[in-house]
Amino acid sequence: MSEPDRPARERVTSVDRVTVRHQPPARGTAPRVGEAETMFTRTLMRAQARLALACVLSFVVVVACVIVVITQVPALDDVVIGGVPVPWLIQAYGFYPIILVHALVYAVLARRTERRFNALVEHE
Amino acid sequence: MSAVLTGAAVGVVLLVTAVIGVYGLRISRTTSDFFVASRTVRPLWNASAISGEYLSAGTFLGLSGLVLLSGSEAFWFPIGYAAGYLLVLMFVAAPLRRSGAYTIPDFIHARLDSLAARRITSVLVLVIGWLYVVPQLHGAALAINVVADIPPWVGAVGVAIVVGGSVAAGGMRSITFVQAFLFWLKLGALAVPVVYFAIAFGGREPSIDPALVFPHESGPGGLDLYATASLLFALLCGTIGLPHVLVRFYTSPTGGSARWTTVIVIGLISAFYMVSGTIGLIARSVAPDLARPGVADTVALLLPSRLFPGMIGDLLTALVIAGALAAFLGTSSGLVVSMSSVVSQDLFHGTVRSFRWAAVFCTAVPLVVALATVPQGLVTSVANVFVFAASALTPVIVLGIWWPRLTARGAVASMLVGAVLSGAALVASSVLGQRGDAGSALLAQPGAWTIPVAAVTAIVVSLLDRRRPANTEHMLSRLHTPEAPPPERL
Repeated sequence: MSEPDRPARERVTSVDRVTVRHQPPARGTAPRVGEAETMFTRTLMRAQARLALACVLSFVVVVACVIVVITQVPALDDVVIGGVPVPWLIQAYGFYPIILVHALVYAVLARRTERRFNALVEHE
Repeated sequence: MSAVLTGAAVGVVLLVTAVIGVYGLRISRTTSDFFVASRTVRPLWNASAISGEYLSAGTFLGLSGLVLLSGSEAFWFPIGYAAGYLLVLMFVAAPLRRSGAYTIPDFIHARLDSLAARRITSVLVLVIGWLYVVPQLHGAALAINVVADIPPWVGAVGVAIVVGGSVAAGGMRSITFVQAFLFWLKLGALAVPVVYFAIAFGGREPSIDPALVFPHESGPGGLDLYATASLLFALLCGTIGLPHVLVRFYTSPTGGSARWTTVIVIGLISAFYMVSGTIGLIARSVAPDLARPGVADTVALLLPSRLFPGMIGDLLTALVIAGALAAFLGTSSGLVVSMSSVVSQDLFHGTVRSFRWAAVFCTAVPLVVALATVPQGLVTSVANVFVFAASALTPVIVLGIWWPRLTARGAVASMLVGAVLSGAALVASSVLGQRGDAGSALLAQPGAWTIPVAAVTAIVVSLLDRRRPANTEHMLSRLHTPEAPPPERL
């Protein structure tokens, strides 16, 4: 844990001290938000929300297809690997790769959206 | 011989936990050290810690037990737990990190600017945390009782003392390292026996009849569509509402790193669930006699000595015991950290001293409950907590991040409706028992209707109320705007 590029320790303060209880936490950013910034933020939010919903939809469709295969194809019950029928094996191990692939794809695409946003804001 | 090894395993885990905790004590000096580890934790460490906290007795002992007891429907639980992190990744990880708040009540308070909403969130966080710690203590009692001739309460009290003590001593900084260590211990404690089993069985033809050991009705073919869909929906949404999951993201340096941390978490917990599920599959073929309620949850502990009588079996059993202990300690201490943060900030002024007292208080309550109640199936008790969290907190957290028109009244109404409906359904279900009709299924797996009702309540009340907090735009821009890239890198 002593690498030179380790992030510096940052002193963080609670947002809930009695003194600041009636104000929104302000840390770093300016409290007033301009119209242009609001518009940019909304565009980014919509893009990220669309991306997340598309990933969820894809995940649900893929999972539903796998569930249909393992529940509705009785012939698979007769295929046995290492003493275990294939539908059991698919249910025990098959869903995790689907989850991981969706997570990776989402994380890469979300980072790309944010980089585009950063570039856009810099140009303004 | 076996008792000595078991004692040694328990002793080593407690010693290492204590040593890391004390090492942490020397470096945690400021209040922020105690609460969020001063945000210097790297993604792999942080991901190991999150996984270490997330994998509880429910999956360490309970998953293989439920596979043995009721067949492949048990696999829906870990699938839901892992997929829950997919939703955490997509909807909350980066924005919550950027919110700059310590706890869920902090976030709700900052976003909605309402003290009432904050207080209700705090109460819900405490209830969820307590409900979640109780099965951990039950698991500890069960495990200690099975492997050694010790009364069950000793296990529960022992784990409670270690958890309360180490959290009070070191806060989150040392807990992060403890959790990371405990994750690798849990994974190893199940993976090593599985490798041994594989070597032992690898050479010969299986002598079992697959149609008998893995019957079609207990397999995926016997799927109950409503129960499965409702359970999966609740587990997926529930992860977002768990207090100890969210508090971890505050230790990531940026929103982007919070996201990558989550991806690593999904990989780590998936590996663990595959290993734990394998134990369940092996148990079905070699230990069908243990398939009884109450006994099945101990199969991971009993399997090694059954398959390898003698020294190897004893050593493997000691390893599994160490891992089980890691599971109880990991989840409970993570929960106690997040509950103590909430209690000490809401009741006191967030000082180190109040955090320590809060840790003791937050461990004592579930201990009393655990000692006063009879253990149910470990996996299902944990899943009920997910249903409650998914109904009470998840709709408000997700809408707070993504919907600008959410108001404080909408949030309060949603939290109350979600908590009351799901709580009442779960209590009614356990009081009435299984009857097999449609109403009983709706009560036993209420997630499919309580979560949408809570979300719709938030939306309708907010639209009627229209009193949007003045800082909405500021908060949303803070939640979603990416950190500026570091100038020298990229």
